[in-house]
Amino acid sequence: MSTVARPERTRLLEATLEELAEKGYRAFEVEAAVHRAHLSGEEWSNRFPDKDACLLEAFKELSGQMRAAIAGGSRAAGTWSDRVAAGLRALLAELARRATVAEAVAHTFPAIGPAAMTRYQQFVESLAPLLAPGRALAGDVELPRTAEMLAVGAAEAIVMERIHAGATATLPELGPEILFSILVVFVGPEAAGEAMAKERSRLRPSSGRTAGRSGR
Amino acid sequence: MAAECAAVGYRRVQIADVLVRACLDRATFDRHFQDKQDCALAVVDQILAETARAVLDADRPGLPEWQRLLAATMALLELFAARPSYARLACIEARHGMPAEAYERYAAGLRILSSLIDRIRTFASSMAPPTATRGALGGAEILIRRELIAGRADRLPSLLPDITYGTVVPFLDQQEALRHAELARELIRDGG
Repeated sequence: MSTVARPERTRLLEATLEELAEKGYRAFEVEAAVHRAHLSGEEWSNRFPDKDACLLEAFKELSGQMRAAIAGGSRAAGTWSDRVAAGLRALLAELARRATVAEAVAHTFPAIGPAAMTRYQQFVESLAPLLAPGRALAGDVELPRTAEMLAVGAAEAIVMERIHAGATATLPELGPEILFSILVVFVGPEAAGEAMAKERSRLRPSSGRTAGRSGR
Repeated sequence: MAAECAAVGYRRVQIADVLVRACLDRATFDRHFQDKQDCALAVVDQILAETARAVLDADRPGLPEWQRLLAATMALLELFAARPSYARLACIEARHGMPAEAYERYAAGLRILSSLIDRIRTFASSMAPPTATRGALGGAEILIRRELIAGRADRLPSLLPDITYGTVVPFLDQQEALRHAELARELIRDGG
């Protein structure tokens, strides 16, 4: 990996993820990650008292990158549904691009212990407020107060199932279906189905653009 | 074992600490289990069996499908509220933190619950994709995990209306889903 013009900390945390993906949790060592990042000295090894502390920080870095991917994608113009679709597309593309790392983290990180599990849950929950604007589309309908969490949980479950199956690289294909499960909480099955069809036609433009409206 | 896993996570569990909690000696442990994994899988099997039994006991053939789903979901939430350590092991550790055999059991539990939701799909909008059932369960799971992680298992039954909405809305009209959520609220008010 390139070592130019990136903060040392970022380099170390990325090296941590790469080491984890290659060697697994048992064989992972902070010193090896330090070496891989082309860093030297005891400073970095001392900064992380053990490998779990290093992995906690690496997860924080990775989850920040995933949030950034979602935020970047969802800045696209269009309806709320369009923006959710774009954010989801960006997230799935990023996960697929880093499939090996995503699978290693999914198998390893929450298993470190209760603190890591809490950190993982907090990351997933932190995505819920991004969906809050969807409430406006429900009109007079009073949605459950946990609507955003239901939507995020639906997406997380489908994504994690694919990751557990070792098929992370194929996640973008599932984008339209995941989009349905996110939107349906806010707009019901008909409008969510239209958005899913629109996203499908976007992914497969040669099959014809027959999708209906979306975003209600 | 379940309590120790909840406290420190499966990976860090030491059999010695389990024995202290259970007030048992090592010889007793060895008579029943080969090792830590064997013991933890037995706990997952037990909660899985209890889950299946609770869901089946609550299921009343002849009632409308949505009512059967509601009763089964309530039974599940009440079981998890009564056995938080077991629930945590089944819903969290088996999913993320244990050997592959535990994940297979977790997946088997999901299949039981999926079959309940799939009965609702009979009335589904044709637009619901194949993964919609998994998504509906995922919505319920994240709410359950949140309460378990926060140590608020006693609140699980109060999630019934929101979980009901989340599990049926992919397949029914949104107003219908809200009506079912309201019925779930009434069920709680009436004391189950």
